[in-house]
Order: sequence, then C-alpha cells, then structure tokens
Amino acid sequence: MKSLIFLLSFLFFSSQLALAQTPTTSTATEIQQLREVIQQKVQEKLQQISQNPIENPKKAYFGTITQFDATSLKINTKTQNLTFIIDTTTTYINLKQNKIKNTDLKVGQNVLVLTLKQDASTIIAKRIILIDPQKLQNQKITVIGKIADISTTSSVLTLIPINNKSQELQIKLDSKTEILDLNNKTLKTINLKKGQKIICTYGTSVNSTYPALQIIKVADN
Amino acid sequence: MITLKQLMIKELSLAIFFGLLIGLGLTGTFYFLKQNQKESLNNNQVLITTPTPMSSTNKLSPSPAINSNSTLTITSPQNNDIVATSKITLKGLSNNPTANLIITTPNKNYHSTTATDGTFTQDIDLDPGLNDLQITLINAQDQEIHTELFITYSTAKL
Repeated sequence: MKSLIFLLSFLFFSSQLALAQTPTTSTATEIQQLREVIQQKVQEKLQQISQNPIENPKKAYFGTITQFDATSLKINTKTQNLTFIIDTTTTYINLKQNKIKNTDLKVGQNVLVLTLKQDASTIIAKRIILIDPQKLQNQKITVIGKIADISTTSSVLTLIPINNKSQELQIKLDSKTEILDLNNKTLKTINLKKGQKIICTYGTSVNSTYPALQIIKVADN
Repeated sequence: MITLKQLMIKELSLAIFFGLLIGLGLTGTFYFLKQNQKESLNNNQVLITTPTPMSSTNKLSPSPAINSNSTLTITSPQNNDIVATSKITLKGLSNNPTANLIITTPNKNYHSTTATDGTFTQDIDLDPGLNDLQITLINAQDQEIHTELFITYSTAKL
C-alpha cells in the first residue's frame, strides 16, 4: 500500500518536472530569422556578381576610325576612345563581306572591331568589319505617357510623356503594333482610350508621326 | 502503550492524508495535461499562420517605397561581349521591385517586370553580328531609366 502511494506521488511530481522542461522558443520566429538570413545572403551574392563579374576576353566595339597604321587602330565609340593592336592575324572585311587590306581602311569609316584581350594592356583587333550604322543601330524609343487623344478612324493617338509634359507625340498604330496589358495579354486598338497611361515603344520617322511598335496599357487613368 | 483506538485513529488519519494527496495529485496532473494541450494547440496555430502574413505582405506591396535614386544594372552579359549563341539570357538587378522593363532589339521588343527583390531575367534572340539592345526600366513612380547594351553574336574563331 505504502509503495503504491509512493509511486503515485512520484509520478505526480515527475510529470510536473517534465512539463517545466517543455521548450518555449517560437518555431515561427526561427523560420522568419532563417528567411532573413537567406535573403541577405542572396543579396550579398548578387552584389558580388555585379561588382566582380568574370570578364569575357572576347569583346566587340562599334565606332569610327580616328587613326590607324600597320600596327594599331584607334576608334571613337559613343562613350570612349579606344586603341587596339593590329598584327598579322588581323583580318579586314568590307560592307559586302569581302576580305580587304589594311590599306583599304579610311579615317571616318564605321567599324565593328572584334577583339581578344591577351592581358591587362594588350587588346588585339582580330577582325575589323566595315559596317553601316543605320542598319545596326537600334533607334527605338520607349516612353511612359498618357493618351491625350485617340482617333479610331485613322489609328493615330496623341501621347503626352509623363516625364516631359511639354512634348506631344503623334503615334501611328498599324497591324504590326503589338498592344499588351501588364500581363502580356494581347489587346486590341479599341481597348485603348483617352486618359489611359501607356508605355509606348516607337520607331523613327521622317515626319512628325512615329510608328508605334509596342504599347503596354499600364492603367486606365 | 498504544491502544487499539489510537492505532485506528492513526491509520484513519494516514488514509485521509494519502487519499487527499492522491486526489490532489491526480487533479493536478489532469490540470497540467490540459494546460499543456492548450499551449501546444496555440503553438500549432502560430506555425500555420506564420506564412500568411509573409505572403500577404508581399502581395500587399504593389506600390514600393518611393525611390528617387533608381538603379538599373545589367549583370550578364557584359557590354560589348561577343557571344557564340543566338539566344542569351539577360540578367540584371534594380532597386525597384515590380518595375516594368522594356528591352528592344532592332527586330524585337520584350516586356517583363523586376521581381520583388529587384532582379530580372529575360531571354533575348540575337541577330548575327552587332546587336544594339535598348533597355528601359519604368518604376512605380513612372521614373524612366534607359541603358544601352551592345552584344555581338559571332561564331568566328578569334
């Protein structure tokens, strides 16, 4: 009898001890902390990639010849002046894709120079290709603006860029114009209305009406 | 000398004492078990509901904080790179989450958006030779950032 009472008492007190040892830390907080650490690591890695990219030794530069001889070529690009080494392995190609000689080059010609970086200071021009910049340059312009007016009969809309409200662009829509919503779902011209905010990509034109290449409807007003 | 009566009283007292002890012990155990069950139920509820505020926070942030110093960085490929494939994956990052990104080549136009962490990727088809890529980012405040990238697609051995 006494031993039974002792056993029951022991069980009672031992269960209290076990309850006192139940962990109180929140699993949710731990998961949140883990998420934050992972997000931070991803950001660090991205920063590392953008700061220390692995350099491709093969580069191509588009520019205008400013000076050249049998051993070097200088070109002027949109942003910088560059000098390359010319050696016996350098090849020259004209607009018709035929091989030409070094002496056929002229100052002022537009060229695409395919280069190979051998070390920090040696960049060899391996291939010098004469090009027509008009055929290669991307002259498309993208702006965000509001439709000030739209003509359903002539498919011309007047666009006022949000970042340059003094400008008024006449945009011509045609069958090639791609009209999308923000989810890249195709829309029709009739879905475009006055007051809507759109992102418009248009091409160049000799007159004041520009061809619309892509229109993305951002908001109804 | 302990009399029989005294012995009976002692036994009775002990029986009452231990009876009370067992009764209290059982009641206590039952109470603590109940309490513990309630606590674990509460903990489970936290675990279930924890992801909800996280995801709802992401969903409820279509208008990110105003960022006057917007950035747009192309991480891959690098400007003026020569690539040997006609399709590339343009990768980059911006400090503008869920911003519109328009990438144009002379022949094609692409539209995508930056992710909630500001990163973006877009597959681009290249033409042989020089490709002039115009990249425009438009953030939630309608600010535009424009950048240009020259990529040459060539399989020529250099």
